[in-house]
Amino acid sequence: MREAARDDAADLECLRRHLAGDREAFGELLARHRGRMWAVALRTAGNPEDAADALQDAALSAFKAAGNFRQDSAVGTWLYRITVNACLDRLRRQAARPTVHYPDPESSVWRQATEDPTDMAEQRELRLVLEQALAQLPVDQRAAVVLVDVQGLPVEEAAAVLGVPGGTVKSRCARGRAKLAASLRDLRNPGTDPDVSVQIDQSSTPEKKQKRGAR
Amino acid sequence: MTEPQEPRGATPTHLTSEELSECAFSPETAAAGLLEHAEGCAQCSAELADLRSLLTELAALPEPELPESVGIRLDAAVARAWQEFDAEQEAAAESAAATGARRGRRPSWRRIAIPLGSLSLIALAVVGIGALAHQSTTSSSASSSGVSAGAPESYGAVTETSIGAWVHSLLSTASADAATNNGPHLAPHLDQPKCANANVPQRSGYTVLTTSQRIYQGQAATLVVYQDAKEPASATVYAVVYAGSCPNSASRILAQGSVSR
Repeated sequence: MREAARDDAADLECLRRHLAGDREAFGELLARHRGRMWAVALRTAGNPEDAADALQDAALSAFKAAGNFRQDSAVGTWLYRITVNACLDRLRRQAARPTVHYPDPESSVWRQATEDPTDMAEQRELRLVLEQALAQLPVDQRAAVVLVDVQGLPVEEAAAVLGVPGGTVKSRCARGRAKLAASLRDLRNPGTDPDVSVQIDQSSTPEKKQKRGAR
Repeated sequence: MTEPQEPRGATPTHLTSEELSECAFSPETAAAGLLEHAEGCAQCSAELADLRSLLTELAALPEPELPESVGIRLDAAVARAWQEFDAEQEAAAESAAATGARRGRRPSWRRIAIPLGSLSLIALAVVGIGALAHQSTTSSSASSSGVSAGAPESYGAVTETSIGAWVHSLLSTASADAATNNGPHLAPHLDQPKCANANVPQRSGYTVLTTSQRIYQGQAATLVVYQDAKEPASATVYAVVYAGSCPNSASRILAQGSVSR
């Protein structure tokens, strides 16, 4: 927590210098955050091409909006918010057009983007399946799950990023998680094929698919 | 389709996806009775186990590495944003200068000191944020009228933000470096190795205080800050922007002016 406060103080100093006309300051701020911004953009946009475009949009928005930053959130939260909004804007504009593309796990650019050299083969397979299932969630649920479950933001911070109440974040996460869990179940139990290399605490009964909601 | 079994716990039906999520994600805040139900119900406990492993997997997804090409695009976009900013400032300064020429000199002109007789024959843009702020709260439009309308075109208009801020940030970085031996803990991001000051063009009566390289008006440029050799403590320094990242006496001058530190 103390470290986060110190980081935020350094971020604020970068913003202050940027507004004072220091040409290096914005690059420094970006260098500190662009790894996380990329992670959020890649998974929220669902493919590296849109993520790269969205990240560039976000950097320019932050560059221009730096003077409007109010300290009601951390600088990092503000950058996440700009990044997520840039992704959602791109996705909305694309929704107007008919082409929707999901990440192709075979695509070299996606593989390169998510590859972890220490991955075991089966771990790698599970992660690709998970990334793919994530990319097929409705975008609101996807953004919430990416922020809370992948990036590990507290619900309240994710709510600030998304500009919705915390309860909305929770319910979007819940619906997203339920779909992801179902996708993973389906992918782990593809009908008659028992050759499922991933073994994670499987005590579920594959035939059940429905449950009654308590009112 | 399985009918829900009657659970042993207090909750009569299966948990909703939201309740299951709450149990998996933050069991400490889950409503009373939910976890008890989940433990006693085969279907709910199986779904809860799936959700827990899902959360573990999501949290363990590796952070993707920023592709080099994307990093280069970002740097280029920021450099372009600064160029656009400079162009806007220049246009604003030019229109302010034109307005000033029609109306005659503004009073704020007289407040800007130019203690640089030997250099004042070169038409120069006077940059004086510090002096103006020091003496009065002159509006920014007044200070931008300090751009010399008669400057040769090849010099381009200099505005207080484009060169003055550069000088100020350079000087403040230099003094921070001197104050703490470690220097600022954020290393300048696009810093290039500085040229040896010996190669930098000299000016009679002045010594080179410091230099800095960056993109200026779309090209590599070097800012050289000179201080008066006789009065090194003077509040006014002289700044020259040369074309090229390692200028010599033949380098083209892009902009110059005196700056209050």
